Amino acid sequence: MKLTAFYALVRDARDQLSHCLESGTGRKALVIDKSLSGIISRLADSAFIKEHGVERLSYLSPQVPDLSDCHSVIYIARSDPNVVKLIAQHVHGALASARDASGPTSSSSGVHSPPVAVSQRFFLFCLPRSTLLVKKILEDDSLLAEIDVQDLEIDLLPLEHDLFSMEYPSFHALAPMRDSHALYQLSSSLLALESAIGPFTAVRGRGPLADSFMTMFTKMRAAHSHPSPVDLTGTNRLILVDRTLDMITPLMTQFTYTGLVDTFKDIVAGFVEVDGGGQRPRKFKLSMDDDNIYCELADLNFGVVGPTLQRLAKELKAESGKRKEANTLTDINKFVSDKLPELQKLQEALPIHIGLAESVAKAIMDEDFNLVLQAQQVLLASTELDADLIDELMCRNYEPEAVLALICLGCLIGCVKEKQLDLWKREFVQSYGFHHLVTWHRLEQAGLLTATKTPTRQWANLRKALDLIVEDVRVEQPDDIAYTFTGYAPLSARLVQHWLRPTARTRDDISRLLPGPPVEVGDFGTAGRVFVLFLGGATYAEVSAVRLLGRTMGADVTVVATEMVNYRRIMAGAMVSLT
Amino acid sequence: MATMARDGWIALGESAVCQRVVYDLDWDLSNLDAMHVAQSPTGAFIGMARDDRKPYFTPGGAKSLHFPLCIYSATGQLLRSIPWDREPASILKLGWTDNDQLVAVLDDASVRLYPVYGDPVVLSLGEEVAKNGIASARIWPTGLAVLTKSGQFTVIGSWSSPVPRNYLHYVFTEQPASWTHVVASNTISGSVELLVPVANYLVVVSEMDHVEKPYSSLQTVQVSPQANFWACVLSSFMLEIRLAQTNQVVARLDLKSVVECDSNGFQLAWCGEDAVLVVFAESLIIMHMSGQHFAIDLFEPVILTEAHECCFQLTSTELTMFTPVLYATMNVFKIGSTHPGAILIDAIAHYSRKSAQSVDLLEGLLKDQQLRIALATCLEAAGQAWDPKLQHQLLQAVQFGRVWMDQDVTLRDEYSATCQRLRVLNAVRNRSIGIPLTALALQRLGYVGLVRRLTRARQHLLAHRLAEYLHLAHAKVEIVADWAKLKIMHSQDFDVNVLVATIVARVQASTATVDAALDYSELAVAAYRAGQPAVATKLLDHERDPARQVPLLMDMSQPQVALVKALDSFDRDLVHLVLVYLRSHLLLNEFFKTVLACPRAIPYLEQYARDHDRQLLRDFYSVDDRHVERGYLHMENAERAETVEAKLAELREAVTAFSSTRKSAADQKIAEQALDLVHEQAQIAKDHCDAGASTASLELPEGKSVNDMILYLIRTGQMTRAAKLKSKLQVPEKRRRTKVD
Repeated sequence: MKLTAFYALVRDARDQLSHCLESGTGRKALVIDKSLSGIISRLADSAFIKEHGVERLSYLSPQVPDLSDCHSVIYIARSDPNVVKLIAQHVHGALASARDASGPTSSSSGVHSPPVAVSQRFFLFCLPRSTLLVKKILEDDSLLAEIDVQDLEIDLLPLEHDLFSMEYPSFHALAPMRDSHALYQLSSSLLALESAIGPFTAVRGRGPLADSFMTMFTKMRAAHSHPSPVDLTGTNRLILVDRTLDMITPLMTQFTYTGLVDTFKDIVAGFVEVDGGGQRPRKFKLSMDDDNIYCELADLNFGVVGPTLQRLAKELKAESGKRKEANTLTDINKFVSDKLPELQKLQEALPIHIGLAESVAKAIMDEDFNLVLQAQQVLLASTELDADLIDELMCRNYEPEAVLALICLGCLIGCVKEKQLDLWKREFVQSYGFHHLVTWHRLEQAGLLTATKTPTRQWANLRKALDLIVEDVRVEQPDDIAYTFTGYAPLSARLVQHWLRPTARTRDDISRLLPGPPVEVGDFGTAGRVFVLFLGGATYAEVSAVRLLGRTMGADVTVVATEMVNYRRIMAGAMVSLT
Repeated sequence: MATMARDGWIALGESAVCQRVVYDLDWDLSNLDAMHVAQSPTGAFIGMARDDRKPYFTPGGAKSLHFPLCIYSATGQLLRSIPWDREPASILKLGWTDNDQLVAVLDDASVRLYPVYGDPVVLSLGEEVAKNGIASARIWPTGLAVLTKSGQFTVIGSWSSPVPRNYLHYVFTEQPASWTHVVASNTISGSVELLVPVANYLVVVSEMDHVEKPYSSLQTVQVSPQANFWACVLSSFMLEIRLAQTNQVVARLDLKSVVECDSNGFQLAWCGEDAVLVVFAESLIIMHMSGQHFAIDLFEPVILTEAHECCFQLTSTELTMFTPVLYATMNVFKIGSTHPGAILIDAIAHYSRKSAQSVDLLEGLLKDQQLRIALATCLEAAGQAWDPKLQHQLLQAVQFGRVWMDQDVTLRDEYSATCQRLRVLNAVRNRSIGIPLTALALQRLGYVGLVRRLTRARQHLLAHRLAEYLHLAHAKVEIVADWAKLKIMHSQDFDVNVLVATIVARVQASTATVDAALDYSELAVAAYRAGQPAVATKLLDHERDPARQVPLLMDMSQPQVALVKALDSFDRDLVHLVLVYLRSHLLLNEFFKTVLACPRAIPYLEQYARDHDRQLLRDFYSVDDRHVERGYLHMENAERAETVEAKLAELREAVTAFSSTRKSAADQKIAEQALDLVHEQAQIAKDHCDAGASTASLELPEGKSVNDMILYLIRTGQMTRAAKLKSKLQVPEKRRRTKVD
């Protein structure tokens, strides 16, 4: 069987995780860095974890949980010095209390009780791999002998068959702080992927990030050239989408089902919080693999989600009705064994999706939201930004992320003058707090808040050349990627479309209108799998757009993103965090 | 041919043991019985030291009072001499590990592991042993055991994790005369077991347990290499071979009837699983499993060393090897054998004499379809043969017979594999190399193991040639690395560039065709340790993996180079590591100077410091005159500040920072307004506090934005304050109106 990248990743990740959980003996406790919980639960359910003998599961927090009855404590964390210092504190605490317990004070305990102090072993699994800095911190803390530090090499989280995410917040890091770590990590995970599915033979892309990614990838490939255990021949092709070439799309309001759920309900590592039926909210796994309803909904324009849900509900009812028609014992038996599990799954998932769709519908009915939406459409179509609307929204203390995103969009399209921008800056900090001065500064650095000094026709030209605005877009059975933003065809996806099937005209336009340098390696051809790398994050709507491209152009396309973004997450990322 | 093949055979019933003098020894030693002598399991090395408990006389005189610890090759060449005159402890026992390290058990309860070349590893057997003293010790290729004078055993079960384990649960009140061991892999308990004959018992001690088996007056026991049999000498000098499982006697011999017996220091050793050797002062007796025996007179003291599939006998003049004659060889060469193999050999002999009988014989073989068996047997015998001439003749016979079997691919492959193996064996057995390796031993060792051994013995040229011949790419890289290390360590008065160029050229020549990459960093460490930092740095330039390169460069106090390399690797964590190192090793000013000299490192510093050391970032911005950035940093700090005072202080700092350039005038104004706002909020909170106890129910204005603040003041009826704040912070009229509406 041909190994798909998805299965290769899932298999490797689960192997890694099982190796991790198998370390140590006796009663085991697992302590996970909260930010990784999504990744871990995406790969392994609680049964998997229990199967490996883990009896206690907790999240890493400054409070030290009492794990003294466990023989092995396994920590899973990112290689972040602050987190490692916290773990070091925990271990010191545990060691100290073990010493106290074995002291003379506890010897008076009863006859039956086993020795009070369990000699504990500590393991630290660093995701995706431990660093020298981590080891140095532990060494300085004289804990290197106590803690067994190992790697948990999970780089890419397989969210769907055709969607992998590194879940590494990088949008801001890549542009402003010139920190290329995300690219480094992505390129090492692609090297790992290469050894499972065969080499990437052709690359297309454009832009500074794409270029530096390629430099890095080539260099690292040369440095780690290990002979592959099997002879892998295949044509895997890469398309590099440089986020700095298209900052506009992630700031727009996505209009696919998943895109909107992500915008309003915040999807983390493929999990979304849903109403737990009176109890506290629970995490629901969005996966096209397990969930037929989501599979139908995921890429739909939200306009057709309602009718689709209705249809699905009807079908489900009809299907369940068939049980009554089954009269003979064999029929019932057949129904129970063939259909029932599937139906039960659907019956469980349907109300959840209805709930999600309802909350999204409620959010997009909001009057201000519609004003923002309109402003976005006008901005893209006619290069004009409604300044009064922004003033008004700020006065009304409307969601700062949305306001900022709109201002940024205006700047990116090139219709905000310096004076106006200064005015907005003052009003913004007065409305939302002075600390947003820093937010503003960070967005400036990211190149999102740059005033236009001389009017340009850059955007207008680009819009025309790449057909970015599509009138009369079909949202049912879409034939153009513009359906994902109801009228706006994401620039990034248009670039992908071009690289999949280049024409002389678009090639000229792109090299004329977009910053370079171009990245071209090998003969791209038309055969083989295509991996579309979003350097700096992708939106779910873009993923849907790329899926449509794959379907219409007959290519096997997989999206690999450094993270999943939306305008809220981008803006929130620029804001001062208090942690 | 057959007679030549039977040279040295000691016929023991249906079987035979071959006694072969392997090498004449070059050394000039006579008193072997006053020495500790130990031969390594492959026979390649001999360790020797003076036995302090025995009188030692030399014709030379006083000089030899301090006999060093010596390592000889199997041909008696002195390879290494380790001075022992300044050592406080004396050697109790010598032995070898299975990877050719000389083991010395000392009377201070320490154990030293000497590689043939290189520095020793010192292990301790623990305080208990040191306190009680060691009475006797046994060393075997995978471990050792000592019996303390207090009658307890301490065992090291493996050299890879040499943790001494005390077998405390059984104490011998009297020191047993002899004892032996069974390695852990051959016991049911999974630990090393010790067999100790005591009076009418044999005590079997394992780590957790012990068993006392009734046994009549045993003197000595020796377990066979595979632990299938025990060889026992009873106090009546009855030699017995017993099945280890059932204790059933397989063979028995009354030694007293054969030779003069002396219970003082006889040696007992196995020769494979087939025969047992007993050495008394003047004779050596071989007893086969079948009960057949043979006695050899001895004219000087000998030392027996049991190897896996043979037994070495060392005298002061020669190294002799006893090997069981294996089945294939036996079948081919036994007198009167009618095995197809023997017939084939016979046919060849007739053929060379141009006798017509050869045709009859061959036809007979072909008719009975036994040529294939004949060929396979002869080929196997060739593989086992020691003498190259004999090998050659056997191979020729095979080649002759192969004419009828040219379709047989397996036979062809076996033939070439045998030839290859024999070439390797003959090369290492050659006197100039001096490893008395049997075919079986090579099988156990593997080609890679052999090449490693040669490398350790510093036979780099042969090792390299073998690796080349056998296509062992990775082993080749290891050999070159080892050679390069030696080259670095022993080069004196050289030009750094020339040396490095020589090494790199050699490395590239031998790794050009393979994907295996050489670990240059390891070489660099060696060079650095050898006091050649310049060579080390140069070598590191060739290392391709920065994660190996960078830490070394830092260790070698070349942080600037390390920083550049880390930046080249794109690996953020490496860069951070170097920065942290630099920060802790340099004064702040120097640290900044270093970073600023390397502009690519600046963003990394900013990022690291932002998350982990904000004070450092502040200082950095000050030094680098990036006041606006510093202003933003203070604004950020203000938001994180926990007390009003701290917040005010940070905001004031921000104002000062922004005021340093005109460019940030707007930001300065915003910072000032923020300062005013926080002041105002603090004032209101204070007023509330002064006003009395009702504060708890009142909403406090802390953390509100300007707009919210004005709204709050209006809502709480503080109109004047609202107006004042509004004018102070220059809030546009329009906005307030919208809000209030």
